[in-house]
Amino acid sequence: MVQKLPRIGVFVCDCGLNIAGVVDTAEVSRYAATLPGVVAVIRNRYTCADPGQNEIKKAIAEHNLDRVVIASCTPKIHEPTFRKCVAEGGLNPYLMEMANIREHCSWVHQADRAGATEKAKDLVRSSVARATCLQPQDEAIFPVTGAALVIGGGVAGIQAALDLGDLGHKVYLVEKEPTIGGIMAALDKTYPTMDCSI
Amino acid sequence: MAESTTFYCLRCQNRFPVQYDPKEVKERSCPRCGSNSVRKETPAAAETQARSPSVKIG
Amino acid sequence: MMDAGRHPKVELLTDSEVEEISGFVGNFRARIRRKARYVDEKACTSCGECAKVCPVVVPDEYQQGLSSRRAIYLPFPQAVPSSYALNMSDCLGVRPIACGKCVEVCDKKCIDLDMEDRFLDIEIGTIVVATGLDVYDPRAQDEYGYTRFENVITSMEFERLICAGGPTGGHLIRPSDRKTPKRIGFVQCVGSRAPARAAPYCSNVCCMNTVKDTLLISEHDPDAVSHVFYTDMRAFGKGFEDLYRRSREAGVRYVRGLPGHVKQDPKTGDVRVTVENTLTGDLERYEVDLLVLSVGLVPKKNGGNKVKELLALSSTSDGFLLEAHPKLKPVDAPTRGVYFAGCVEAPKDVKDSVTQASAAAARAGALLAAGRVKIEAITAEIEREGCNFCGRCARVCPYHAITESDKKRGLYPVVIQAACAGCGTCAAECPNDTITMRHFTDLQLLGQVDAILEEKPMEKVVAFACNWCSYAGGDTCGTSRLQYPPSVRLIRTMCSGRVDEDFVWHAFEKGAPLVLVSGCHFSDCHYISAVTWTQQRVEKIWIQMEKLGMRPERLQLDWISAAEGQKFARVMRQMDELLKQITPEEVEQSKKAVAEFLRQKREKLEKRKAKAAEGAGALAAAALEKS
Repeated sequence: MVQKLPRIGVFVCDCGLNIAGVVDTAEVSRYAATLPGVVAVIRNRYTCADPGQNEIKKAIAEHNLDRVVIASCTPKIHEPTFRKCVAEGGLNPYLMEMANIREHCSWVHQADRAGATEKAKDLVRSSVARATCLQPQDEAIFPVTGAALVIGGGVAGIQAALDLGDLGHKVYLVEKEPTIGGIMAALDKTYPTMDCSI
Repeated sequence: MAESTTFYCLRCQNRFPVQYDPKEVKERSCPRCGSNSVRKETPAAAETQARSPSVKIG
Repeated sequence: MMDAGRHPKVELLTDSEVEEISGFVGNFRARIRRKARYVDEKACTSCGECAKVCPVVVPDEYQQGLSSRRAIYLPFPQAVPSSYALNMSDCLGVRPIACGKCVEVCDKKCIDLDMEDRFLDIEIGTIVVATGLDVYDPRAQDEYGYTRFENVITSMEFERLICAGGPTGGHLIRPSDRKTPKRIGFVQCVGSRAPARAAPYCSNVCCMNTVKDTLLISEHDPDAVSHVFYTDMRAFGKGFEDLYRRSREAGVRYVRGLPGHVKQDPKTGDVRVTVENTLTGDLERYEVDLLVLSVGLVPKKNGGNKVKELLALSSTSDGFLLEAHPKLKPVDAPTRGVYFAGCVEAPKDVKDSVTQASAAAARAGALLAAGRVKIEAITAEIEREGCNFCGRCARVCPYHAITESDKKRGLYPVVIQAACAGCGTCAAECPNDTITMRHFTDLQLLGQVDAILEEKPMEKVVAFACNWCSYAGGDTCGTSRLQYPPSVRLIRTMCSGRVDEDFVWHAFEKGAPLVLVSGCHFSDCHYISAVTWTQQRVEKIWIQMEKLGMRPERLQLDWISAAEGQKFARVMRQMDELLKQITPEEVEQSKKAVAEFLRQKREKLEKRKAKAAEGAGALAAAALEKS
């Protein structure tokens, strides 16, 4: 599948002391440079901050990178950030991969610096291996039919149908009984204001 | 139909009874160590279990 | 209600049920059965002449059976649409001797006994599920004598008895002798908070509903005395505590404890309640004229379930529908483009139902307003080459996103890209490896396994973790700074359903001492039911490991939710401990056994693929001949 060796840039984040306080990020950076396909390694204090992101964009152009690996925090936080960043740098956003060396490493192995550093190196190697095989992806776009179906004509269904109608959308409100109203219509007064249900 | 079957834990080797229906895929956990690596005890399983070490609980 | 009937954008389809739903976010199609009403709802003026001549008298559901209606009836005066309806199962019209009195008397000629069900096919971009719930039926557990004592009624019956539009015109009477009750008792938590007997959860509305009822009683009759037997009074919402205080100030007596014994005196009709007051520890006896059971709310049995099946929705253990995320996407169904409103998701009161409905409308409206929908590029693709039409992919897909294949007609399965949520179960289950999971390909994931095991494999645990739960559980663990040994290496997949048997075997072949597969708890699975395939696959591998002379203990399985940082840390510690007990000798031995097993497996696959290619060739030739 992989035609030629990719040109991978690895960005190792100190995250202040969050990562660098436990993991030897300098050692991780040295190690990353030895991995197949890696042509640039840049260590940053805060990769997610603007200067860090600018470094990524600059490196993509300077080193003609076609894959980016970011060793920092969990992708659950910054995957969208860095996807956007590499896209601005001219790469397909799906050619970016993250190695989670904070939540899954520095924060949970605080008493074992050597072990944490070894693990961080492994996580980077694993991400570089994955990045090597990443392919550009296009997100498909589909049109949306401009109408809504609301199933159930109780108080919730009625409210949803009215709001959607007020937003200007066509609404089908389906109720299996001969009248809408549901359980609410069978109540006398409703709390906390003691007003009528209907 | 569910019937009482012995399950065992692949982590702490605990054996425990389970209401088991082969047609039903259910989440199960070991009542002792909380692991989800539990399975129905078979004669083969009982044999390997005898020579398996386990996680200490506590 | 009236507004919904009048809104120019809202097409009201009463007497209707959804029969079929197909399609995907932004592009759904639905077939609606419009049941025959036998009355032209647009022409009917609700004059009521038809009901006057109708000879059939049946209990009135709206009035909880406390009064009667005719076979042709207006459900209640404010019904929308304001039209009579004929219930054909009550009517004599279809019997051998047709009655037809209503048809004769109707001036507008809007009754048609030959009306038939019709079908309406519609196209919609989004669906709001608001199918509601049912009220607990106290007949199931006759603990308070509902079936035996006339003067024991439910809170729903009470609503009708106190309502001006009810059968008594709002005069509260008790059923046995129609006397106005002066002493009224309420029993709380009937059908709720009773794990062994009924629903384990709190039904949310009953405490405040009873508080409201006691105030209604004191308004109607200041001399009446109410007693409320409760577990805990829950008055947590805006204005609730205030109402509760007003109720106590009005003289309502709150007794902490549920009745242990209830008996109606056959002569006087009075109900004797024996209760242990859990605040004083005393056994107390109360005589009341009327006892109201404050019944809980239960998930819908009929109707609700049908929509659930049509949309492939799942429910939590309590039977209510499962939302996409309990906090961040509380009105989204796991199926994109589908939203929840009201009690179908959980018991809630009118205010909360309305709030959630507006939220659902906003979510659905945002999708409609965007006019287009972007699908994340993590979807499956099926290659024709090698496919032998086994149909497994379509069967395991939790979203019905894969079309059925048909060998005879040469129809290959196709992934509907917009319906695919990207769990990867199909790719893991395909016996012929013809499915590619975009952005989580075999090559990418196996590359990670190789990278991890390249150096010092004996010191590492290869772990697969699903994006939504286990991986996120690891994050939670990190955020909480819970410490564990650094031996485990996580590989992220969107769902544990993506973890192919071959990934596990590959790891063992490369010398992994221990492999962990982790995913969401069954009730949290972000891909409806994909996790059930994970479990079945792991069980299958355990059996094969035994056949190869390996200890199944070397493959571990765990369900860890995003919130379970503690469990994540515990599992990591347990993995570390297990790892130390695995010897280099057994790893070496199994490497060979697995390599041989995989060689044979590949051989079989090649044969199958060759056969499939032959079949495909024959199909192509047949197609050529036809043309």
